[in-house]
Amino acid sequence: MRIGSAWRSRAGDTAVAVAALGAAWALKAFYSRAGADDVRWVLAPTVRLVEWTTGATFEYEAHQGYLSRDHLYAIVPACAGINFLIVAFCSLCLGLTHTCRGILARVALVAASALAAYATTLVANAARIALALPLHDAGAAWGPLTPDRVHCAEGVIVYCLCLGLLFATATRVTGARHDFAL
Amino acid sequence: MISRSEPRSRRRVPLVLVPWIVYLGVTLVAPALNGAARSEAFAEHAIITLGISGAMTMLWLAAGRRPPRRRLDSTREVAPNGALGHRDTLAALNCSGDECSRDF
Repeated sequence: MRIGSAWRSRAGDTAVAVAALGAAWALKAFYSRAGADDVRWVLAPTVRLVEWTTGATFEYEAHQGYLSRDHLYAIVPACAGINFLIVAFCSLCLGLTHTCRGILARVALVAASALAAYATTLVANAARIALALPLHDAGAAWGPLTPDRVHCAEGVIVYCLCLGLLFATATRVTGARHDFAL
Repeated sequence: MISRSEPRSRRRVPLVLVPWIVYLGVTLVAPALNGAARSEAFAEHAIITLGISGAMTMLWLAAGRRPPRRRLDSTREVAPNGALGHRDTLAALNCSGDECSRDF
């Protein structure tokens, strides 16, 4: 009986992993071909947040993205943060599935992960762009760190911090174990 | 008795590594498999991503393994014979937090 229960739990975890990775693969495939109009569901609220936090104004340019003429800065589909959305969603699903008992709990985990990942993506991406804006204006560069490298590094730092905070909060809320068995 | 579903010596891996591995998978492995690895810009991106995310994950791991701070230090009342005072015992019992629960 214990073996049956463990098997069911393992099968449930596998089903969640397959669903999460399948959704991630589909989203990644969609993103690789998406234009600005296709990702407005992420770009538009992100730009609103950036405008709210920085005071900068962005105009929507059809098929291109959002452009700030004052800062000469464009928020294009590559800045949409879809990769972060995929990472956050998969991390929550894969990392927390062991806390679920039963199908309903697993469905709730996937739905809550999608919502939390979307909300965190908006905040993380807006924070990344809001910080990138003054760096861009100042043309920040230090030694081997060219402006492009500074932009990349700043993005990785913001994304990792937000991902860590999201995951730490989620593990605390769900009471997940701090390690897992291979 | 150990059930067959839980082998005796299974290696434990910190959960913190899950988001890091997924992050590297999505930002480095997937593009590399799609041919991005041939460009010079990808190598730069990979070094920055691996270096920063790796350092931050190690910091996170180190913070998680930090020994818990005990309230005993701030309320220590030691009797002449070396025994801990009443307030000390209460502080130890009331000490909350995940880390402390392992100690008491």
